Amino acid sequence: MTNTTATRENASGEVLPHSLCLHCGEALDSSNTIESNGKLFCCNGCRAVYELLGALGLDDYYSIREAQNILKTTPPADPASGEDYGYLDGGSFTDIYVKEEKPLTMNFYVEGIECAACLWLIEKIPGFVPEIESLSLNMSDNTATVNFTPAKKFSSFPEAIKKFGYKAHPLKNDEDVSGLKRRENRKSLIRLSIAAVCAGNIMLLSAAIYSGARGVFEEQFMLLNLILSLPVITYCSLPFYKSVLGSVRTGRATVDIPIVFVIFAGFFISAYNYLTGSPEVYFDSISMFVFLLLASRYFLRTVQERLNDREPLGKSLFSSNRVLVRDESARQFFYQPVESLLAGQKIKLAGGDRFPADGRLLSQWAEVNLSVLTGENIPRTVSKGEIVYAGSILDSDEAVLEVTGTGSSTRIGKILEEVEHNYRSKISLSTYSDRYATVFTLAVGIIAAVSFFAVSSYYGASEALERTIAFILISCPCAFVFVMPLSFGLFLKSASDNGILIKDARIFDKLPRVRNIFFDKTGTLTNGVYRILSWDTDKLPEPDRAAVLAIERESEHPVARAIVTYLSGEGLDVPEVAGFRHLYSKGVEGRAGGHLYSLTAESDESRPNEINEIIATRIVIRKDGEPISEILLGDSLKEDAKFVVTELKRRGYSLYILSGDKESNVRQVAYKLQIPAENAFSEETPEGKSEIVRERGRSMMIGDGLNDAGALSSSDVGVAIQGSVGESMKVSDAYIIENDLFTILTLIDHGTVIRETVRRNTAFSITYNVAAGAFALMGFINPLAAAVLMPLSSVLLIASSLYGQNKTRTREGAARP
Amino acid sequence: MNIIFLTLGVSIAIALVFLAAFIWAAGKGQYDDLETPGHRMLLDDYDTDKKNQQAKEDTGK
Repeated sequence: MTNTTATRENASGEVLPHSLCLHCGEALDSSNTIESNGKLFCCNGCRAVYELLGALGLDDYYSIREAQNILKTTPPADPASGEDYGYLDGGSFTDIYVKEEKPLTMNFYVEGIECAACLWLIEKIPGFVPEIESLSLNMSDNTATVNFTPAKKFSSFPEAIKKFGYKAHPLKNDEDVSGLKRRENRKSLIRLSIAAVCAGNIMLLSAAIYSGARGVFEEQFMLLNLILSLPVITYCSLPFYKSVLGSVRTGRATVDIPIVFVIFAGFFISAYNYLTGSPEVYFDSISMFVFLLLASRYFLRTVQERLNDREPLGKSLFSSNRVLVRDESARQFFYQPVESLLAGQKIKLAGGDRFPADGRLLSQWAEVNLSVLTGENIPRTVSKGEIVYAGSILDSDEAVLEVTGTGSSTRIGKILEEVEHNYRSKISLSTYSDRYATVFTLAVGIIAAVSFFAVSSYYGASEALERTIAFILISCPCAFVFVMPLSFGLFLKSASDNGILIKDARIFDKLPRVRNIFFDKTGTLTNGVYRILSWDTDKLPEPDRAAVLAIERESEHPVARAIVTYLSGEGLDVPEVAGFRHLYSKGVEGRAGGHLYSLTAESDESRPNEINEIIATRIVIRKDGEPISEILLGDSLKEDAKFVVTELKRRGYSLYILSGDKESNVRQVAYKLQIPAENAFSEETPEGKSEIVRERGRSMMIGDGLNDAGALSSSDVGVAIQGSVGESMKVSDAYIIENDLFTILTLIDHGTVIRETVRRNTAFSITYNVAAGAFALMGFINPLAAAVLMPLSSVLLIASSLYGQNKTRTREGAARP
Repeated sequence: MNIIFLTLGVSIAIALVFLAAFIWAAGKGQYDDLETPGHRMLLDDYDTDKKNQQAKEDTGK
């Protein structure tokens, strides 16, 4: 281990010996160093993991990590703290989580997997946890499939993994979408392989025919081609047939209609011509066409799925699994799975818990953080008898409530249902290729019919039929339909290299139409971190500071947490606190060091402040009733907010702020970003936000909270930013990995470039089809020409897409603040 | 020239054998996770090293 540190030091040359934490690689200084047996760590979590690995003989972990050049990892949480997984062993939970009975299998999502060393370590677990039979980790989607012994001790895996500093979330049976995706993936891979084998062999045989095989060879080769193309037009083309059936049912045209038309026409005419001894057979073109189509769609799907897997598993607001429910007959509270909670039951929550259901408060009062509905972290006071909503967080001590609604009948549940509905109807809108295909099919149909009659009056019906078929085959938008997924796939990839995960390529269809851009405030324009902006601590004597720290430690309130963070570094000698209590709706008080201290929020008053700071709260500290100090707390704008907003305005977008926060805070933000006051909406409910976005139309919404989910799903382009909750990520079209707004500009630039590419491809496709179609009608196109021209046009289109791709690269060099 | 038909038959048969092998592998899920097995393979060394060491120590006693 000392080796590891030594090499690192030599490389940098500046760092003092042993100044990196042995486990996580964090640089150490006097304030954060813990020593144990002559070894140095940054925190107890790291020390515990290091010692545990040593004790289990698993210290190879560090050499593997070093071999992978991973020098730093996230420091683990203190193993002593964290969730207790004992509930997994209770019988009522097994139905929800156990995947298979034999062998007993449960799937987990594992947080914190960074490299092969993690893989090695985690797969060692069955070696020393007797309750686990075997397990395998999938690094592409961070899931572990764990087989347990009949002892049914399901908590053993999350407990074991917690000791190493990872976090495991059990996946419910129905959350196992990856299994479904996998099966779907296997099927398309098999389809693709069959199409490849058939098309390849057909091409070989056709090459022989084109180069002059005649007589019995020509006849037999054609028969073989006919047989080989049977699987292609049946099993391999099934997805197209299904999609066409679907579009017939919904009455919406898709690009698959001309595809199926071409496959059918091509195959049956070729078969007919073969049987009547005519040389006009297109088995090669048809099967190659199906193969290329399947390949390009498979490519787009894999890119898209890989991106979706990279999307961090959003921390769902309803990730808590159990709740204390009062059993009236036993007069006691027992743990129950949240899923089995019923209206009318009484539940008890501790400070910091999230309400699992809507309910009526039975305690006298409670401080409730409604950020789920407002996006703001400052709690409100709720009195006995009032309704609290599922998803809110309890910030005061204990609270008891009577459940009034659970699951989808809660207010937030209804909002989420609405959101899902919006999102589903949004993604089923027709795409650019679909619209193009509709117009195209109509045009081809009309021209084919007209020219058939025109040609037949000169050359007779059979020649007219030949030419019309050649026309239809050659002018099918095939190049277009498989190049589009390809170029979308390339763009998704390049966007993801720039920190934008795009869920659906259709976003590019809509991006250029956007005129109105809506921003959420907290967490989007601002950092969303509630902290102390100014506090003159020098004027406050040390015993008073220590007393304040001691009192605020007792509270879960964001103000308290900000104050504790602020004072913790000072190494104050913290006194005992007596008589601590939350004051109704105002603050806290407590007795420390013989004096009564109170910290209460006073009315806001606007005052000049630092350019990026948004003052939200003024706290006054009183000692025995006398004010002795005051603290200003609030949020601050993101570094690049001003730049991005100015740039977007320069480009002619109308900008809006949608916030659930108080008017005074929103006004400060709007003023600083020079967004007109009438475009800054404050104290909006989630429903209201979504309404505003829908009314304005041509909209792009950028947000992070659950209260933005509605607006994200009803906007044309919904963009969730880093730190978003799972529900918002799910319904947005794009997700920005990095915590900056600049990426919004990149996204818009990408939209412009792909629109250009699509236009170029369309223009080319139309020119090509008109020219080739004309030749076909004039009788110049035979099967050989078709077999050459169809791939050729595709190659040109692929080149055009790659050209567009390179252009985004050069654009990225553009100025950044 | 009829030998062509024999070679043709053989070549298609071989193609079908490979296709069948591929379908079998895909159906077994060998292409589901293209990332982890690559890492896992590299990690084998660590375990074998350890076992060898263990073996040496055992014989040393």
